[in-house]
Order: sequence, then structure tokens, then C-alpha cells
Amino acid sequence: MIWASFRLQRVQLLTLLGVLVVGGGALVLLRSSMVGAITSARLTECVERGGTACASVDQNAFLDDWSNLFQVARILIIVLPILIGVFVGAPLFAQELEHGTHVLAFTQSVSRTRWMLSKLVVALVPALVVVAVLQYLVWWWLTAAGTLGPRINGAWHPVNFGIDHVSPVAYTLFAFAVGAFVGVVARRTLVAMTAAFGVFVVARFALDGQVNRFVTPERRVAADGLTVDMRDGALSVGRGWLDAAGLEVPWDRAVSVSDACRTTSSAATQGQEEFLACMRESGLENRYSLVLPESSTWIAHLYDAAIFGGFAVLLLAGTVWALRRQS
Amino acid sequence: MLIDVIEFRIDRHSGVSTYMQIVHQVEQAMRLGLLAPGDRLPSAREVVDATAVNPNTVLKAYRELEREGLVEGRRGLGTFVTKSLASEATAGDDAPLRKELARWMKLAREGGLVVEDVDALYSAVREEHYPVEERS
Amino acid sequence: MIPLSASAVGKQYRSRWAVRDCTFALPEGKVIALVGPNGAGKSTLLRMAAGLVRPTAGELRVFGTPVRGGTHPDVSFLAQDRPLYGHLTVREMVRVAAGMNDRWSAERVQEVLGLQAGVDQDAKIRTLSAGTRTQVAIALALGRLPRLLLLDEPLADLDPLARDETLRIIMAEVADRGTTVVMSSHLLADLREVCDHLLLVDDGRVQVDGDIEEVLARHRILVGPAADESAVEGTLVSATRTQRQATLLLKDSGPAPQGWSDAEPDLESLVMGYLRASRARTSAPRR
Repeated sequence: MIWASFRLQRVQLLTLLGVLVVGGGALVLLRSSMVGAITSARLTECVERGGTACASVDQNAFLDDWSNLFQVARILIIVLPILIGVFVGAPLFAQELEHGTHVLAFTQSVSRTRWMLSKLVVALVPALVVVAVLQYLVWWWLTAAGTLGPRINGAWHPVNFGIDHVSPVAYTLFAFAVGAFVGVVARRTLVAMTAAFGVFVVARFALDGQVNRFVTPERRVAADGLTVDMRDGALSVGRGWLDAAGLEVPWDRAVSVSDACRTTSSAATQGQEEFLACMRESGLENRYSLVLPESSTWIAHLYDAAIFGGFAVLLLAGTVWALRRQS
Repeated sequence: MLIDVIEFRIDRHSGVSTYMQIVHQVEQAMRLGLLAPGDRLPSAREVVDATAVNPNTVLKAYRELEREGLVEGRRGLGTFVTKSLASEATAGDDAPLRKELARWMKLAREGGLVVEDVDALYSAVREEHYPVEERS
Repeated sequence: MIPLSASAVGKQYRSRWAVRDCTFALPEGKVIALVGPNGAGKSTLLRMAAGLVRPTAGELRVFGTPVRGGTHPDVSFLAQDRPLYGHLTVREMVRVAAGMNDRWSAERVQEVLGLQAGVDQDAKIRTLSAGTRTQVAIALALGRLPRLLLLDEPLADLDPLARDETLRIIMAEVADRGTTVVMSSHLLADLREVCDHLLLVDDGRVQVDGDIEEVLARHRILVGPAADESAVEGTLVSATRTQRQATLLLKDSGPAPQGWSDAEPDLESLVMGYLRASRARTSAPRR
């Protein structure tokens, strides 16, 4: 049965292997060549956040050479789950149902459940491994680039978030499960492929950033009264004013006071200090922001994986259920 | 050697059932002396290979022949002819009646009769001597 | 042991009953013709017997075991479209099938593949002719060493030569192993010569079930004056009438009355008579 499953998935498995070898090899080579470029351009310090004197000609030259490659690698990790859903998940059962070959399988001594599971395992596990390995290599490469690369935008940036931690594996599982499920219900490969693509894209857009609400924000107070330092990659999810006692001022009051302070002092000539002084007279002491620190992204990733993975498990259970009643 | 004693020819469009065709062909072979006591009839499988008929039909025909006392099934060995239907008159190329008929055919041919004429004559004379109601 | 029996089996698809109230018990070791027009419910019956489709009502038993959501180990089923993986070679296909079975006879498969002209095992399935494809599908079905072989339209779309060769393979199986075979066809002519037993279905119901010779012996065709029909005894199956003459298919009829000719029907006219009768019932307004 296992040999049968491997033989029937051969095209997909060989393609995945090809992607793994070519993609993995390219990523390893790119990383080592980039590390060389960073060293030879003496940009090593700029890799760490907060490195000094990095807005140089050398850095611009480096970015010209590498930023497109960074984009390609990130797009690969973003797109890979869709490709797996469309080309591995969708045809898995739909093709059998479309050609009637499931009847052959269902009338042999192997049980339907065992047939399904062996097909699922042989198709899904290699796909997940390929995604995990490539994602790790991209992460390894981008980490070496540090703030010279896309990391400068912080781990909360939607694209950075989408290619990090357990999220890509969960997305792959979800896309695969959508394809497999629709394939069993619709019994048409093309319908299943289209649905895997459409549902996955819609779900990703709809749920993008939604998991952030599961992370408890921290309050960060402006050091100079007005500007909150966000350069460490934290994500701002709200802001407002604090009074002298350090309590949050209701938003509408803060707005009316700040409006009043802006109009009383005559426009352009007014400096920041005057404005701040005006605010403080009304008891609004300091600006603050609610931020999600970069170090908390893992919590959001876990929720992300739980949501996509949970839907995937439901869909796979639905697939098994629908196949068991299939005639 | 025993196998090729008789080969059945099944005519699917004759309107006669396969089973009756087999019975008739065995009987005819026995009358003509082609099958003699001790000869083995082809096994169902051999008949299937040659004619693609249902082996159950072959076995049924053999059971009918057995019922008529012409053959005998021996477990694991096959079905064997036990009786002779051939008589001096019918068996062998030199049976007197056969010789007579051959001579007549030769005359008919020399007289310019075509095969349809011969058949018509033969049937007509046969009807005279063997009226339908007398035949079993 | 009865290879296949049905008791009050019915199958409903949405509002339509594909099979209704079917009861029968098939004899062991026979070749059974499952005959009926297209859409009569033949495929549904076979698929239920193979455990692919669950009956809405009633129960099927294979060798005494109720069929529930799976194929009995002693049953092989060949679907009408002969499903095989087109992109595999014959050899790979055989290996796939072997991997899906606990009991498997590789020798039997090779034997069947070697029959007739022999099958090129390195050819891709999709390049095979319909006849060879059928041979491969039957070889796989026989590899399971079945005692009951269910064949759904095994001769459809075969040319006469392939038809003959396919029948030869099936008949050889019957001769070698005494397998019970159920073959469906919408063409009686396909099966007339090779079957012992007739199961005629139409409109989802069993119309005739019995040994072909016995069924024929129980029926008569009487032809006589239409005005005089009341003199005829027996169960009327169907009739065709002109102004003066009536042709009647009767079951268990009494002796033919004066002025009527009497003959045993051939299988074709018997089947036609029953189908005509079932059509008349269907087209008549219900209730």
C-alpha cells in the first residue's frame, strides 16, 4: 500500500524533491555569498539593530545587489503553501474520484481508512518537510542579513510574520486540507485546485493580523513626552495620553484638549515645547503607545498555527468522513 | 492423444441451445465411430479454450449423455465413452450403406446436380421413409 | 452456500428508487446474466453487492455474511469503466493492486495476463486497447482468488474478437475454479450463449429470476384469434395484438385451446415480453 501511494504520488514527490534540492542549494549558496559581501563591504556592524553609521554608499550598493533576492526568497515561502494546496492537496483524491479509480481501491481488501491515511501521509508529510526546510534556510539567510535585509521592518511586518516560526507549516497544512476536502466533495480536480487557491488567499487576507489581539500589549511612554521609540521592531496597536498620576486619559478628552492647544497658540510659530506645556496645563502629562514587543511574536505565531491548523484538522476530518460515505 | 478425439463446433446462431448441440455432436461422433468405448471426452476446460462456451453447459450436456447411458464420469479422470452407437452400417469409410450413398452422390454430381438439388432430394426421400411423427 | 442473496433490497437516490424491493438468491457455481435496459438498476445492484453502495432498505448477503460498507474478501468487482491508473505500466498496476490485498495470487494474475495474445507488461495502461484493458482489469480481479465475480457490463465497447476473448477468460475461470459469475449487460445477445441463470431487472425490480432452461420451459407463446382470448389458461405476461390475431406470452399455461398455435419461447422473446410488460406498468398512470 505504501509503495502504491508513493508510485501514485511520484510526479508530485519528485517535483517537491527538486524544489528542495534546487531551492535549498540556492539558499545555502546565496547566504554564504552574501556573508562574504557583507564582510568585504565592511558592513558587519550594520547587521545588528542600532548599528552606527550605516547609511553609507556601501550599504546602498549592497541593497541594490541583494534586496530583490530577499524578496524572491520571501515570496517563495509565502507562495509555497498555495502551490502545495493546489498541486498536491487538490488532486490527491479528486483525481481518483474523477477517473473512478477509487472504486478499484474500495473493492480491494485494504480498508478505506487505511487507503486514505496512507495517501494522506505520503502526500502531506514530504510537502510539510520541504516547506519547513526551505523556511528554515530562508530564516537562516535573512538572519545573517539582519537589519540590512527585510528584518529592518521587524518581525510583526505582515510578510516577515508570514514566513516565520510555525506559520508557514500551518498555512501549508491548511491549503492542503482545503484542496483535499473540496476535491472529495466536488469530485473535480480543477474545482478543487481553484478552491484551494481561492479559499487560501481569502483566509490569509481575512485573518492577517487578527492573531495580534491574542498578545497582551505593553504600555510604552514617550521619553520626551511626545515621541514613543519604536525602533526595536515593536508593533504599535494604540496610543493616547497619560495624566500626572500615570493614568490613561479618555480618548475624547485628549482629543478636545489637544485641539484646544493647537488653536490657542497661533499655528506655525508654535514649537513642540509650547504645545506640550499647554497639554500639561490641562493635566495631560505624557504620550504613550500600546505596543506588541518583537519578542512576543511567538505567541501570535502559536495562535496563528492553532487557527489554521485547527481548520486544517477539521477539513481533513471532513475529507475522511466524505470519503467513507463515498460510493 | 486422447484429447483431440473430438472438437465441438458451436453455432451461436442456429437457434439450438449450446447444450443440445454438444449432446448431438457427441452422439453423431459415436454413430460414425469417431468415438468408441474407452475414449475420453474433452474436459470442460478444454472445450472452453476451444469454443468459449460456459463450462457448466458442457458438464450439463455430459450429464445428459450419462443419463442416456452413453458415457460415464470418473471422478478426477474425466468423462469416458462406455457404449458404442456405431454399427456395421454407419461406422468406417467402407460401411456398405455409406459406399452406396457415395456412389449415388457421384452419379448426382456427374448428372450436373448442384448441392441444393442434392439436399432437396435427400430431404424429400428421407421424409418419405422416416415420417416426422415416427421420429423421437 | 448461497453466493449472493438479497432480501427486499431497495436503493433510493433523492426521490428516485434505482432498485426496489429486490429479493433473490443466486445459485453457486453458475454464470448469471443480469439483464435489463439501461437505467434498470443493474449497476446499483452490483455496486451494493460489492459493498460500494449502501442499500436504503433491505439487506444483501454474500456467502451468508451481510454486506456492510466493504467488499467481501471472496468477492471481486469489476466496474463498468474498468478503473485502472492510466499513467502506470501494466507491471506497476499489478504491483499496486497486489499491495492493496491480503490474499493475492501473483501466478493467477500472470496466467490471465498471458492468455490470448498476452499483455505487454511494460506498456502504459492508457495505451492499451479496450480489450486488453479489460483483460488487465479481469486479471486483477482474479488475483484476489474470488469465489464470486461481479462484472458490470464487461463486454460493453469491445469489438467481437475482444468480446470472445474476454468471455473465454471468464469461462476458463469458471471451469478452473468453479467461481460464481454475475455479468450484467443491457444486450441479451452478449450473454445468451454463456449463461445458466437469468436475472432480469427493469424499473428497479426483479422481473425474472431462474435457471434459463427452466424459465423457458415454464413459458409458452400462443398465437390465435384475438376474439377468443378468454379460452386461454395461465398467467398472461404480455401480449401483442392485431385486429384479428393475438400473440400471448404465458407463464404456466394450460394446453392450447383449439385454433391456437403453441410454442416454447426463445430467450429473446421471453425477455422482450417481460420488458414490454414492465414498460406498460411504468407508463400507466400510478394511483
